[in-house]
Amino acid sequence: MVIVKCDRLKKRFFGRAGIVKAVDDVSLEIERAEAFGLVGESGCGKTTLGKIILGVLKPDSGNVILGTKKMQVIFQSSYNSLDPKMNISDILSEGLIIKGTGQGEIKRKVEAALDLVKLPKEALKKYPHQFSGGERQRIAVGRAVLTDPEFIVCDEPVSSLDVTIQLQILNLLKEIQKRFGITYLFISHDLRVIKFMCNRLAVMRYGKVLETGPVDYIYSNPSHPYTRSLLSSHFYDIIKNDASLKL
Amino acid sequence: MQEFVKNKMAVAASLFILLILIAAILAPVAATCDPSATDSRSVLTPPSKEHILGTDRLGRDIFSRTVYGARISLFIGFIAIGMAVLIGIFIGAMAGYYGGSIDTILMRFVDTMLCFPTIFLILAVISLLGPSIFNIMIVIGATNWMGIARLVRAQVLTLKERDFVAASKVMGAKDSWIILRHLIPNAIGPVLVSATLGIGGAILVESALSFLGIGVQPPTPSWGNILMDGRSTLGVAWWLTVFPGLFILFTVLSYNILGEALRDIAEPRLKR
Ligand SMILES: Nc1ncnc2c1ncn2[C@@H]1O[C@H](COP(=O)(O)OP(=O)(O)OP(=O)(O)O)[C@@H](O)[C@H]1O
Ligand SMILES: [Mg+2]
Repeated sequence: MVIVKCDRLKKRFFGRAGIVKAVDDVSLEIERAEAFGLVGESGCGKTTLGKIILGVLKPDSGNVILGTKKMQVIFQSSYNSLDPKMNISDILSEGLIIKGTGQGEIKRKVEAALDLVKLPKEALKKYPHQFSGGERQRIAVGRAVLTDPEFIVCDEPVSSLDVTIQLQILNLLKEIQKRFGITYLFISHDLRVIKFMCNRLAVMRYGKVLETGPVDYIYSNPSHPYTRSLLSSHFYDIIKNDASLKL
Repeated sequence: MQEFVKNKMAVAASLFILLILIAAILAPVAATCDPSATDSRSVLTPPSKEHILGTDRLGRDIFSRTVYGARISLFIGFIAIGMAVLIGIFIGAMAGYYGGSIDTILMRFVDTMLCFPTIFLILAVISLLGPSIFNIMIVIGATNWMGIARLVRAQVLTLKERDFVAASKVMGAKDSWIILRHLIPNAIGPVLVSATLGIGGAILVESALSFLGIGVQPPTPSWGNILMDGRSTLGVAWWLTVFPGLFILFTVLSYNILGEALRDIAEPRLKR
């Protein structure tokens, strides 16, 4: 069953260096409960596509058909995605307050989420700058799961973390997906991360999707030369790291 | 070293502000006499043990009048700047958040207001509506919000692109929620600095208006009208003008020093 369907999305930006076609005629379908990967080099339009799907940006043309209203997002920079003037309690409960959830339920859910992301209760009274990058990203994950989402856009959630912390967060995200059956759009430029997390992926360049398919299939039979070059530059890394990622 | 001296200045300024504030709040206790009690036996007496800042031509105690005057002058300064802050935040947040033609219209309005020679605007409004404490506060507030509006707009323009705003939108937040819960709390720091600097200016304007006789009306004492009262007897009784003048000077100076110290803390990049 399809949960997100993008139909010929286009988005241009008028920058200093002229017009940028950030998303150029993108169509794709994401199935319920899958982890759909989106890879491509920096600036190819991944974040823009994610924001269009989430409704934060309006496309110039094309449309998005959503099978759910319960969406959430986890961004790359936890520094940017958590309001520095809010304490963790306010950050975690924001989505529930917006929905008009009652006090008692908010308290119960916040505590459950804190438990899930393995942070102590004392964290609630602190502010984002008092945590490490990995802890902040766990807070962002906690905020995302709190509203019982069916679909989460993970926009390079581990790119700014070091490898051991990356693995912690990835495992946490995997566990959450297994437990709650959430659908992920998982954006990354790291093919190892995509292989670890996703079952299908789309390869993007210059705002276009070059190819889409199951991860195992594309990794062994890349049809587009660009995908092949992406893979070859990562090939040895994948072999080397696969074992460690499967720990 | 310079840093240290500057900090010392800021500490001294804060202490002075605090002192005046306490004196103003506790005026009935702090004042040694009734500020409007006249005494025909001690007219225009120089500073003495009994009247530490002397008396005026009606025999009223200058110290007590200055303390009560502080009440009026500070009250006007605070309320006027408080108003300016509210207007500035509202206009700046609307312009920065919504952008487009709303931004253009509001910012042209700000430019227009800035082009007006403020003092003439104030004079015109006061002569139309009449001098009262309420009118003075309104008019000072209404002519001092433009800088704050620009400040808030600039902050909001960058803040609204931050990911925590996007995350809030994804969670279904309305514009009012985003503006009140995310944008304003993050933009408030520089606004408070600017407001602190503004209080000194507001006190000056109030004093000037009262000095010109179109501000706070006697018998209510304000620093400006005590100063004006002393004008006619300046040749024989210097204490009538010098003391209230010094209070105005040091208060305004203190707010400026404090404001600048706060700015150095808030925006270290601008530090000289
Ligand atoms: N608000 C904007 N204004 C102007 N140009 C923009 C804006 N947002 C994105 N762009 C441009 O659109 C293009 C795609 O940006 P986007 O952030 O979607 O890329 P990305 O694939 O997410 O990159 P990265 O891997 O670095 O996060 C880039 O060239 C970027 O400079
Ligand atoms: Mg991006």
